[in-house]
Amino acid sequence: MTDQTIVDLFWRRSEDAIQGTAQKYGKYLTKIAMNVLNCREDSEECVSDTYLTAWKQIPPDRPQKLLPYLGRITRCLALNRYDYLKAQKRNGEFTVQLTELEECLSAPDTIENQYEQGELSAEISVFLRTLNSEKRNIFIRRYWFSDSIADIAKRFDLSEGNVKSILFRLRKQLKQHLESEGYRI
Amino acid sequence: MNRESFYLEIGSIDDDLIQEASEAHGHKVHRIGLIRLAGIAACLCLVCATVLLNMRGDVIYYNEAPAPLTAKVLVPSDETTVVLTLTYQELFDYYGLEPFPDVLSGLQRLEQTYFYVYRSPKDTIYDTNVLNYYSDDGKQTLTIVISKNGSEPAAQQQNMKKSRIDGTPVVLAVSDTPSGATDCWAEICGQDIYFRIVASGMDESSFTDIIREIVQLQQ
Repeated sequence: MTDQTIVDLFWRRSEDAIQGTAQKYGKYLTKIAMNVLNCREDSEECVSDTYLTAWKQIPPDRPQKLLPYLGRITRCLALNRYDYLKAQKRNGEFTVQLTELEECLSAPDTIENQYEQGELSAEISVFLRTLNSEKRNIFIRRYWFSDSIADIAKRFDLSEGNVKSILFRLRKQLKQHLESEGYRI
Repeated sequence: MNRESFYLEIGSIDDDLIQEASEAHGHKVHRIGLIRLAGIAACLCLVCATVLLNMRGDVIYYNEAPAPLTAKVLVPSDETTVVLTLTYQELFDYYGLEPFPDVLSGLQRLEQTYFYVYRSPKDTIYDTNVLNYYSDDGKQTLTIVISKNGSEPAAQQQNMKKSRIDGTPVVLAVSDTPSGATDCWAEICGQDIYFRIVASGMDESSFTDIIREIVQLQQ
């Protein structure tokens, strides 16, 4: 089933849209949620909530590509749930990822500048396009898909040390890039 | 901005980047392919090196067989047969070879005034000629039969095992003579020249050295 067909089903308010989405992207969304929450039950709930959110947002939304669209919803929902659950059962791996991202911030936990929605994301996209495809994909696998270092190393046939080293340099470069473009985050 | 907000900002990067990363894999397949390719290349190198070494290294094997006699050819004595009388230099011009030296491995060439080639109006009928070398004391003799046309290699007919000297296939053999001595003989088939070399009073090692010298002269 193509993305367009699934979106059309959403627009026609057909429940087959959920079935089609689950069939095509269920596994992929569960993986994203698992990477953040590290809990099967919570992840499955998070994915179910993703379908529900998509049901509410389409229409009016008409996404061209469902993978990033649904993935964003899952990330957002998983992050909310992570915040809610972190006091009880913290996912060490995801906490490490967030700590890594802090290295890109100049002044963590302060709101010195407000940016238009999507402005910073657009600049991150610009930065990512300056990288070669392997480095770009490693960065996105780590900070968008929240893959573990071990999974990335396996996927790209690299050592874990190599992946860590690449990510360390990329975070540094991203920070320099954002600062050079006038972002103080 | 806190780290969670930044995480969400990363979530909104362009769709095509996410799509690309979702399908991204390393070069594992290519690396395996490269390793396989390198393995095949290494095997090929090994095979080539072995072949080259075999070509360069001498392989000496002496068969035991009597020296073949020069085949008899009936040369027509009618008016159409032309007999060419050649000097030593002209003979080698005819064969397209550099003349053999007067001294070969210490053996002196016997002076011969003329050599012959018989021709019909259409082609050459008989061009087998013989060079003779001998030692000063007369104990060692060497006969070199050269032919461009007509002499059939006897060794090939007998399926004798071939040797290789300086990359050239050679048939080497020893045979007992009625007098109780041992003769060494060899056949070399060049591109279109046939050599049969027969030596008396010579051991195999010395004979091999002479054959090597003749092979090198041809190269």
